[in-house]
Amino acid sequence: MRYRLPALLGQALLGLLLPVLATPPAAAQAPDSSLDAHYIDFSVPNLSAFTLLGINADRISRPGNVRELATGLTNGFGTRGSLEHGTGLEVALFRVLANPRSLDQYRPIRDRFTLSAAAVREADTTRFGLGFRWVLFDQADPYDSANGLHARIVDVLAAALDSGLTDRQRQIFAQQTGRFFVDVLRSNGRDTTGAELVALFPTLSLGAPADEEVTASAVERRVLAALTLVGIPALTTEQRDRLAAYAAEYAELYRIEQESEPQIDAELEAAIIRVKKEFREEHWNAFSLQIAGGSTFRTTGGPGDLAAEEASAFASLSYPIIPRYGQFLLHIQARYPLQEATGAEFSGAIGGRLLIGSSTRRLSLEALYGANDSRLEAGTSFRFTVGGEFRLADGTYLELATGVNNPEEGGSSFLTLGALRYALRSDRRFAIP
Amino acid sequence: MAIEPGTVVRMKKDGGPLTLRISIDGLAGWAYQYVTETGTLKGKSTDGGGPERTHPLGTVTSLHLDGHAWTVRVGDVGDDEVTVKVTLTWEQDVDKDGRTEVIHRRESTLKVSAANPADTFKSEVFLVAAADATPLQSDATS
Repeated sequence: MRYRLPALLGQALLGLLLPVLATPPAAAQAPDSSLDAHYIDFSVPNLSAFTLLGINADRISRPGNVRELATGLTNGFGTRGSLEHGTGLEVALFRVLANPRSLDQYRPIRDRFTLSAAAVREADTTRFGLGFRWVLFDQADPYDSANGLHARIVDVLAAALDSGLTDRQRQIFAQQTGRFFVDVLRSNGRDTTGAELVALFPTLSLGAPADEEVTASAVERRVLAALTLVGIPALTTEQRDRLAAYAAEYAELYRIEQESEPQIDAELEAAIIRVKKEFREEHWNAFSLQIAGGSTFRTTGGPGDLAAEEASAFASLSYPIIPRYGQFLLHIQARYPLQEATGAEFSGAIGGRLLIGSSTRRLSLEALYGANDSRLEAGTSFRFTVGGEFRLADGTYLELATGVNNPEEGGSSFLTLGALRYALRSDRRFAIP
Repeated sequence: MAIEPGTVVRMKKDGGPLTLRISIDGLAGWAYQYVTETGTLKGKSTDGGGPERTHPLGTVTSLHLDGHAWTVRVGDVGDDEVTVKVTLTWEQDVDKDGRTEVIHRRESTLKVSAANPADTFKSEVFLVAAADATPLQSDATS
């Protein structure tokens, strides 16, 4: 094995700092919708174009996490030891075109199909990748109403609004006052089921006209005026006492009702954010499955030297191994070289990544075995990396890793990988702190 | 929040049992509850609009001089302003063949937005048994 530690350490630090210093792209501007408000940033997508190019941690693609638009910046060192700067963009094209604005307009199969493009600079060569990614299953899809997030938010709506004056209090008050008017009409020899009751009942129901003063005395005056209009100018002493009590209760119930409204809105916002946070913590490691494919190209910048490199297809799945705290990723990939010089020979790779941690911080252990890889000097290779994934802010994740690449023939080399990822068009109003 | 003046629902005194139908048009998520003398009826929906909800209320005899309070709460977590039409319909069986007659209907239009993520429509009703159940007042508000 050949280790050049001073040089590698310097390169490692540079590789780690570059993503942090990079300027994030401006967020795409788009009107918010009910759908956007359900956004949850479990992580930022692994762009299929990066995986096709075989750079950084994207050699093991993590399924799921489809967004309308995502960008990626990667910096690190390739298997040949050169510094790699990669930039990429992924767009869920059909979703952008369809522009679903509510959960019932969302179509998982259509809206989880993405196209991506990426470029990576290696020494004097620029390589491009064009690919697609199709997430067939995703149990953490926050837009799929069957997965429970929306049902939880509806529960919040119901529970948060079940405050202030209760329906039971209002039901009792309506019953008392309705029967009061029936008694008054009956004692005056009037019809207790007709137009007079219809006219009187609203005067002591809680939906008073907003422009009226809501005090006990004002309510009492309003009721007496209504009684006069139907030809009942006076009440008995017992009836006056009951009316005074109902009017006082009315004023108090009305005050409680009005004061509860601003509090309900504030509690609702906080409760929705809490529900989304809980959902992310429970589902960041959920099962998902994707298929992807595409091609890579190479150019040195000269006229007419753009050449197709290889076509590739891969599939990956994620599986929760420890509820809330662990996830395993499996990745299988096949490549077919398109350059005549390399010979038309299939190559393949299989790998896995173990993530242990939480929805915002996790340790990453990754192993990848490649056979017949045309990019390698040797026929086979084994790569092992240790790293971490960290959520920096809503929609922004930093991935760091270091490890060893060990071709079957030839010396081993260190790898230092860094990636800063952004997902755009996320809803900020309900962003999880 | 819309709190509207309570109304009197006149049941046909020789008619059959009463049923309440609640329909919501125009929103992904909503919830309601309806408190009566015999208990609380609750419902919620995660579908856009969703099917109508029907609740049996009881017989004319049990409902006479009964007060009910009902609340329909609608909410949306998006930033767009959403208009929601809420319709409550009181129906009474008129014969044993299952034919029904609408004896009362209330409609209300609610709006939810980023500034007002939930809106509530509340009212109280007082039920009386009458010889003629024809409504004596406007049966719709907004």
